[in-house]
Amino acid sequence: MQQRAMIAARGRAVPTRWWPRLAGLGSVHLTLWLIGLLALGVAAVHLDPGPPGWTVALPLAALALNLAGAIAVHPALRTQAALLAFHVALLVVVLLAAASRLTYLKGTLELSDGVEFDGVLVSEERGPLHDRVLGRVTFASLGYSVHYEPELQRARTRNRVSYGDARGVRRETVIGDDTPLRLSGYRFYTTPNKGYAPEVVWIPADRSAASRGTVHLPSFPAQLARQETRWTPPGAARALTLRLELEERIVDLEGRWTLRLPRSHTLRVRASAGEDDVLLRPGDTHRFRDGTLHYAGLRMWMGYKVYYDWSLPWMLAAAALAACALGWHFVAKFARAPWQRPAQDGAA
Amino acid sequence: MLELTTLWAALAVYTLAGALAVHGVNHGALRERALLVLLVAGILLHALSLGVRWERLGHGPFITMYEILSSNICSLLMLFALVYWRIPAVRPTAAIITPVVLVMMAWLLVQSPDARSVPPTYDTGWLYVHVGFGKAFLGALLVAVGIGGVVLARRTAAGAARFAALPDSAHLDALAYRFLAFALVFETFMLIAGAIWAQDAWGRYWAWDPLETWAFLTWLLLAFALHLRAAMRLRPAVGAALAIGVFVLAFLTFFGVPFFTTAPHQGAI
Repeated sequence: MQQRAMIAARGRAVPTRWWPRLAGLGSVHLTLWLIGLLALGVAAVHLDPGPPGWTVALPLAALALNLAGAIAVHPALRTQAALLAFHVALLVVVLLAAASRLTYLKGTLELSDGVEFDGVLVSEERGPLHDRVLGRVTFASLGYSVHYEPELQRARTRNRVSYGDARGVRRETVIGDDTPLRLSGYRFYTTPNKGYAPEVVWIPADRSAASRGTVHLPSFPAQLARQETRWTPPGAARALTLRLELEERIVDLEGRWTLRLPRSHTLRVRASAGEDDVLLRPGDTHRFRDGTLHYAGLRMWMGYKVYYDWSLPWMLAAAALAACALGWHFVAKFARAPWQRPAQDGAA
Repeated sequence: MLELTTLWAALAVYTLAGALAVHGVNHGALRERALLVLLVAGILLHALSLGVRWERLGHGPFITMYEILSSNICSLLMLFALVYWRIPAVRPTAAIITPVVLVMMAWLLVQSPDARSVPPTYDTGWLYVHVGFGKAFLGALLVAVGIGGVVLARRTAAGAARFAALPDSAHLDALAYRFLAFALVFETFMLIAGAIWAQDAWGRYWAWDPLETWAFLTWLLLAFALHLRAAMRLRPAVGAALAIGVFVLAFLTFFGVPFFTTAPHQGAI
């Protein structure tokens, strides 16, 4: 009742049943509490790093309601176009962020040179409403170059890829850590995760269908001293250990260098603890108990990040509008009184 | 050689300007024009030093703490000199602002001037937009701190006497509010430009890394300080304390985060 009277006294009398509640919801005092609560939630993110949970989502949702209420009932917001534009744009940013969390996708994948992406991700994180159409996206790595500065500082990565565009036409482009390949709304970026991939052909002992593929060794040069992995061939009972032995120096810790395929190397293969290692060069074949391994040669693999968020351009537009409107509001507001002796300004 | 000579000369001139400001305010005879000349001379020398280094290394002062501190000292004083020139009412705040910058200069002197290579992700125009707004943000906050410092100093007898020539605290408070308001605008633009850069550079526009988290906390505290004025009539001293609080948080975000986390902004990687 008191609230209604106050509203009437300010000449904004719309005495509906909901008005006092809206006024309470849009109260600037509530804004202060919610900003404080959000700040605590954000501080909690620092203490427990990672994507924020309800400690940020709840205060943000409450602030969005508070903001919506304020836009509906606060006279200063409704009579100052720039301030109103700022708050509406801010509300849109919050709503877009929420919608984005429901529909985003973030993942990683690995591809050897020349191998087509088949839609399978190594890891992924996505919103519950993400309609995954990655299987329809086609691209392949055609090779890459990574330059290094002294002390293993990674410089520019350039990865040539071929992809099918929206009309199915095959095209080529160069991507990198900061230049994504954009396909069907997905953005693919190269990463520091990359290395060597022996290409092998496995013919099972029972002479069933042979399989050709690549085995990704650990990331290079991050795992320089551990270029080894265990791999179980299709249909085999035992895993093989594959170890790459470089016969030249690729990495220069003190100088500039470029990651490349070695000119000379061997692939050391171990079947089990009691057996002798087998050294294979490209083109060599060796028969193991479970089948025959043909070493076709060495390729490189690249790890990619994939990111999907349809809201990006809208989020940018809303955020830019918010910042411009805020600037416009303050410029107009402060122009009313001289800077030498400013009047008492309130936030509105 | 020219780089170091001009840097040392700039720091010496800044120190002289600070001494002149403190002495002038203490003795009620601030030599305003001489102080402005010193500030501008120091800024020109400092800009020359930064330019020579930029030319030598082929990249701007964005990589090491030495470069970031040095460029921020220059930009903060540049912004203050501009305000000092345009708004005579704030001139005595030089006695508060220059000592703050002198502390940064002392910190600069213990940093290694060695260069580091530039991450490929720094090869973008958004770096300049992001850093530019960041400097404008911190500069606006510093001016608000200077004005707030005067308001708080006036609560003591000595402070009241030394800053008597300035407008009353209510007007100073209103002036500080204006700089806080523009600081919010600049920080908003800084965050947006940073998000665009991060999307291009690392495939995500926001990842709650420590610097992003603390920059957002600073934004929230600034928004809180401005909303508090809309919610209640604050005493000038409370407004001044809030301005200083925001500056401290922003300063810790800019220069302190790398000290308490091993995973600062990805830009450094």
